[in-house]
Amino acid sequence: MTIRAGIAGTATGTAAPVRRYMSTRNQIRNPQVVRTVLSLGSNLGDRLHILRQAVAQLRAIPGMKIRAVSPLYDTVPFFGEGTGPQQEHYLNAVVVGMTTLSAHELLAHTLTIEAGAGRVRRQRWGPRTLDIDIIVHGEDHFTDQVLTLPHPRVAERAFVLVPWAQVEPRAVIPRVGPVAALLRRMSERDRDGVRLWTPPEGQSWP
Amino acid sequence: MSVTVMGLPPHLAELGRCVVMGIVNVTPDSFSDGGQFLDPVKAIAHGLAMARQGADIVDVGGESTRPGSARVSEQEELRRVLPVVKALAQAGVVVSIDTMRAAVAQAAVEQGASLVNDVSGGLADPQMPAALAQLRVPVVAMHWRGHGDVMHTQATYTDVVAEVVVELGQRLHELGNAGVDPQRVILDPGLGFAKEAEHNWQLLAGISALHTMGRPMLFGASRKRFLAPLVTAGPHDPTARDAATTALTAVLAGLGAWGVRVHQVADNADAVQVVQSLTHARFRLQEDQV
Repeated sequence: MTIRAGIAGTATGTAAPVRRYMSTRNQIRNPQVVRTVLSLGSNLGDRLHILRQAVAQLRAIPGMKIRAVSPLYDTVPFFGEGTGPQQEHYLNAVVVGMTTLSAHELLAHTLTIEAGAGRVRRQRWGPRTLDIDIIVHGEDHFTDQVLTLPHPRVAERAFVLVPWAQVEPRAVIPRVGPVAALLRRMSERDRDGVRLWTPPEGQSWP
Repeated sequence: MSVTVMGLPPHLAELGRCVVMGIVNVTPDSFSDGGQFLDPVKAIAHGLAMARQGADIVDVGGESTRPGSARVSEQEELRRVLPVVKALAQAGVVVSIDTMRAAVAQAAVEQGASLVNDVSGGLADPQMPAALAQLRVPVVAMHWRGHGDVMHTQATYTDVVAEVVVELGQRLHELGNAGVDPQRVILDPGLGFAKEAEHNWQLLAGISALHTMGRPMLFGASRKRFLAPLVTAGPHDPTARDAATTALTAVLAGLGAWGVRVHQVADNADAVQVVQSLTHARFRLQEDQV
């Protein structure tokens, strides 16, 4: 069999250029561990239960270890309070993990978890059962057809920065800046839209 | 060929080149990549990779249609495809659902699929034409004479190109009667479906006759058995047919095929780009001469 046919027969089913094939082989021998930060949100159904399930499913991903889970925050939706489609408040959290998965492998997992939570995208900014965004993945910075890293709107999202700063006050977003500095730059109104949320008596988090 | 398809996402409608449709089989038994993608995470990762490599559409199917295959239950088909359709659509990928069942087509479109690819052209499920009319999404209708278990007995033609044109015309007509706007329909001559190798070659050579129907044509030649005798390395290994597939893609793109449905996206997307660059250069050359 030629080298090419060998590549086409790998698990990804794609004939990648030889250069990429070699780097994949090196990764198998010595998988690179990178830090990744995920943002979780839910504003439909039993939000606490949905987010708790999501964290459990993230823990179960092979090749990923959860290092920190932020407290929960209650967030006014982007177009909340009469400016757009009426929506319930979001419950948000940030999860920090270490992973050997590539950003795209991780994306396949997060999309699967989202799909399992019954999320249906009808409106771009519409309500969602479960939303998982990859915010950063190692030093990755790129845009392609399915993913932009670091997340392109992280600097304006208090519901990501506030919970993240709770678990990693010194975090820095590659090519964007320190989380603490981004938070300081944010208007008080935006920061105040994100409020610490304590689970009801008898309920735990995470 | 500048035939438009109503209802396609705008960026695809104005593509100006052959569409590359990548195949994700969420099946244990597909002839050329069987079993690899039954795990939804793997199927989704594969679909995402195809989108990054240049697939304009990712075609998700949960039922093998290879010669000799048995059917799966509707419930099993839904269980296989829905999470994959939903996740890929969520990631911004244009998804088509490859199914012969109206209920699967409906559920998949609800979860974000943008097209329905019915290899039976609405023949296998009597509910399909009405369902397609109601869904109002673009539809691929393929030339088909029977399910995988019997189709090898149905490859009898006196003039394959003429007969496929007539039978596809009947599909277009019947879908139209059910309320499917013909402007939404893409046709597929169904290479390898109730066809011997010679029939496939004649259909490829007869593309201009197929185009007389006035609808865009999709071709699915990827890794099919009729390519095996041409392949020097590994005639029994479907993945060894990728270069032959890519060669056909370049030829078909040059002859105005609307799209190609392929397993290996990267090379086929490159082939289509090559043809497009040539086409553009040809225009520039003509302009210079005026």
